[in-house]
Amino acid sequence: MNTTKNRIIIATILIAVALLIGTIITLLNRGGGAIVLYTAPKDVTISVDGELLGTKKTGDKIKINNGTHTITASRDGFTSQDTTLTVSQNTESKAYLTLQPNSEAAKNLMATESEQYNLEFVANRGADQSVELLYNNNPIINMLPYYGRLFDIYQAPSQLYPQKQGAMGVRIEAYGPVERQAALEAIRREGYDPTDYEIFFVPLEYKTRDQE
Amino acid sequence: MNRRLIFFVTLGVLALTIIAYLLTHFSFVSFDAKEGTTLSLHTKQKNGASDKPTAILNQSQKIAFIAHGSYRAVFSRPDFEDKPEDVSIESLSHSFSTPDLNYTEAKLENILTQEKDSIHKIVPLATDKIQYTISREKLYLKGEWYGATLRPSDPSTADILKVICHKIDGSWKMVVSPRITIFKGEFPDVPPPVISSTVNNR
Repeated sequence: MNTTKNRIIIATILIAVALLIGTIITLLNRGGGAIVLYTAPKDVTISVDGELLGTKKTGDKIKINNGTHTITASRDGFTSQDTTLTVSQNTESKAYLTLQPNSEAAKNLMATESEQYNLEFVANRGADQSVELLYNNNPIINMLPYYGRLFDIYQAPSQLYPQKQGAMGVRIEAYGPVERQAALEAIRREGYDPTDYEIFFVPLEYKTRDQE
Repeated sequence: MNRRLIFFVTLGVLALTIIAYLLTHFSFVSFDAKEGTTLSLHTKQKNGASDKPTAILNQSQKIAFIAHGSYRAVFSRPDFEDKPEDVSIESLSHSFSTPDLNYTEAKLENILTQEKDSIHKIVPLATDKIQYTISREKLYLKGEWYGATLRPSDPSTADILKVICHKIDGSWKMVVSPRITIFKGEFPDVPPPVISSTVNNR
């Protein structure tokens, strides 16, 4: 009888301890994702939202709370660079940071074969990320160019925000008022809202004359 | 004596575990109810939100204790559009404040009949060559935003235009002059739904 009681007590204790450990683990795993750093040069000093994290190597991963964060990379002899990323639960975001050398020592460092290879990798991936941003910000790009009856729709540089990363304009070349409305209707028909895009209109006849 | 001690320690651990469980899986939800607004919290399911609310908060019932999870919070008030909002409640406490609600369509139409004359005075209805008529006019939000279409007498020779006006300090001002389409990014001060609805109201 005593042995049974002891077993029950021990089992209860074990279950209680397991529940407690489970709760603690759940609490510790809450609220965050990670950012993988790709930097040129390979070793830089990293700050997140102004808070210094210290020296990090390219490929290093930093754990970070959910939300939008500004990552700043700096190093003596280089111009600092920052990027803004949004981190969500249990996801990994990638930060590509290419620092420009502004001293002889920094230029010599970047001329080494190892740094050259790394720079090429980070710059290319960074460019890929810019293209991805353009597509993400402007899904209409998937339907362009679009050729309609007496109107064409093209991707064009943004006139309002020419320097803004991921910004673009939409140029509608149309014959007249009816065709301009038809072009807007074509955009809607493809599932896009014209008001999400910087649309400017060009008379179609001008293009024809230029081509002639 | 030893067994008693073990029993009480176990009981304590169990009690702590239950408290820890409650604190990590349930949340105190509070609502700063103002102007007769009611908040209904509906559990989110795969096929939408449940019809029966998990909790209803208002001026007389401002706090509830609910399980963590995804909810649809619906704010409602007479004469105003319901405002649904998807929320994830995961912390020990979660507070809601009374949101800015917009009038219902019926209420806005009622206001428009009173405001029409003063709005029409500031909307240009003619250029040197083209005469326009106002159509598809509508008030938005709390009746302080106005969007309309300007239709030319012959749409094959002149463009159909969109215009937006805003009531500031009791008087109407044209904030987006007549144009074929309006880019939200160019007018950050105009609420995006007003632009989208005005341009796509055809």
